[in-house]
Amino acid sequence: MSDFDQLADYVFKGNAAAVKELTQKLVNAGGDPLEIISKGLLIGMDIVTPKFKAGEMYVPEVMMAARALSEGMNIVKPLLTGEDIAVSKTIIIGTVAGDLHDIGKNLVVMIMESGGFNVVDLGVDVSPEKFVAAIKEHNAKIVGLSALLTTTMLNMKVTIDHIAKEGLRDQVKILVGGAPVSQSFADEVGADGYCADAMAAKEMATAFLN
Amino acid sequence: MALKSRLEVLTKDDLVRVHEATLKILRETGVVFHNDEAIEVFKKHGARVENKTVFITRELVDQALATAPRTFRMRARNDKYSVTVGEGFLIQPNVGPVYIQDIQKGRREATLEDYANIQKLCQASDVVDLVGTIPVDPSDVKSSDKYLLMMYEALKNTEKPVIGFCANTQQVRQQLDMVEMALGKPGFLLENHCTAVLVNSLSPLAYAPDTLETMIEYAKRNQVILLAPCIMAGVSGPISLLGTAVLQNTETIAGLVLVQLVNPGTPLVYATASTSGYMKEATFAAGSPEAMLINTASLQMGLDYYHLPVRTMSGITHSKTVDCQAGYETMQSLLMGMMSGAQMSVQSLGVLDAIMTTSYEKFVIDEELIRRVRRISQGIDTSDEAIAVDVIQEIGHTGTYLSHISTFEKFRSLWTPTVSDWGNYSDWKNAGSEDVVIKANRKYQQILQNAPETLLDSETDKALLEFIEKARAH
Repeated sequence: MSDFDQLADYVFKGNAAAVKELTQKLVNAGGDPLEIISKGLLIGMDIVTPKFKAGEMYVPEVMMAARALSEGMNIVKPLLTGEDIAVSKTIIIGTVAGDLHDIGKNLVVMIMESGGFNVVDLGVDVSPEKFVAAIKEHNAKIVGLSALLTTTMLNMKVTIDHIAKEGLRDQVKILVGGAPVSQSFADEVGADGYCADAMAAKEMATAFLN
Repeated sequence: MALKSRLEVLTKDDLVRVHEATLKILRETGVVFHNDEAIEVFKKHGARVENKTVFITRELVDQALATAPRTFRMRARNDKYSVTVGEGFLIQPNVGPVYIQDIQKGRREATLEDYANIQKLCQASDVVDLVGTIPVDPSDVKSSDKYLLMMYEALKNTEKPVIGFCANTQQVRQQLDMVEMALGKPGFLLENHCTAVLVNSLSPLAYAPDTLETMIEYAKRNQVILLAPCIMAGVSGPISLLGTAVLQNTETIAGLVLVQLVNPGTPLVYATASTSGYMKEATFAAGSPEAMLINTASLQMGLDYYHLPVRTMSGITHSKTVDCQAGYETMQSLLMGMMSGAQMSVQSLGVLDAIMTTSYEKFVIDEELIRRVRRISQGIDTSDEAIAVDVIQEIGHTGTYLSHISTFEKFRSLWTPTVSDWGNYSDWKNAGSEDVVIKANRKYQQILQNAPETLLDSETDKALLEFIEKARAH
């Protein structure tokens, strides 16, 4: 097994310590950071995704793999130059105002990061103003809104309306998700996409950027 | 009569271990309360507070347990529907579904009309003891008006004890005022427990702002709090079922302490609504046999260790439609809930898809499941008459019991189904080979057709409508 294959396998198995050690070894030996990412780390996640979709891997295993991946990324990322990062894959994400639930949102954050996204996580109970400020600050193209409660999901509409009022609606694609959220609700509040789960969120965000 | 045993998963020693574990977590890790008034109450009573984290001592827990009632009477608008909470197996409406479903129109977002319909079905039902709450969340009304309109529909279409809604302070005061108006006189609530509310902790180990505002307002008005942590083992709680039961117990006891400090003697129902996680999606596993096992452990704590009235969540399924899976998962959950000693049950009236949907047909079918389970809970008559030696000897070796006077006198007490089909094959075929869902569909429509236009007198109705108008104007 080549070092890259080995690295991918460690990511797939969620072995964070081994990923960290091998990534460091490859960096020390003068390996190309982009190659370490694209031929090693992300390949590991590419094995995970279809297995998760097929129901062979469960969420805790995916999260361990994502955590192992981020250990490797933490070592390699600082070595990348500005030119290496071709497109800005920044996503702003948060649980909308009034809602303190974040398990699902945090899952989306991990999966997005494992897909190479730069995730700006605004946390929970995020006001529409905070979303707008973050879009401006990070020049983001994608915004993810999360809510668990039927009472707070209506704040998705308030947030989207505020983004429109600030003249940023055409600049961003807005994805919504959370237990009570549906496609028809997403349409109703004027979101660009409804994500039933974290993988769907990653795929939709990727599709929008392409 | 009554069953001779209860479903149990913990030994007596385990109950002590769970309690000690709870005290350790409350003392050393504490619970986060996202509300200034709650924090002040704890500080005033000597609890150590760091920012929003409250550390609760054994003394505070003991005090709270001493003032919380074991049973209490809940007053209905029509007193013949008043109930005692802490005995029997009371059924309350569902809480939380967003969708409504029937075979004509399929699954769709629920409206206020659906909300009113479910209230009518609850009022008409001989197995439903409480009304109100949110059996379907109406999508066609403004969120600012929603609580007023739901409470109005509950009061208009029912006269059983009514459950309100978790909301902010002002909205909670409004709903309590409406209940008081419907019951007749100002100040009535302070003297009588007339309404309840379901609140959930923000697992792990926290309480959200609206939840606390609701708990505090209900406690101040001496109304009932149904406190139900809704933990998913492996997601928002430990993967071990016992660990999740410990977390559930810890969150409940923390809430109990707050409520008893706000108003000692406030009735609080130790409610359990946890499940295992569905680890392929990190979501809530409704059809799991392990869900009720967690709650069985907690019910033992509530019943045998704390002597509080207990409620559970039973009758749940992950099925998306009223099919075989819906049937066996619902019955598994409901039967385990009753056998674990729950004195009240929620999500037992037509829920589907992990409580995302209420089905009109399944509501009617679940009523029958509840009748089955209540019958099982009664056990068998063990009297001298029931042992029937005289009858057995009289009939002897030939003849039939069918025409014996003892059969004639008692046969109608045998349980018979209300929607299930027990007839013979050719009758069933000749009647169109109907599935139980078709029969249930017809039945729910009949009940709605026969429901009274309103159960409010015109004066109360007018007063309530004026109250709503005023509240909307603000």
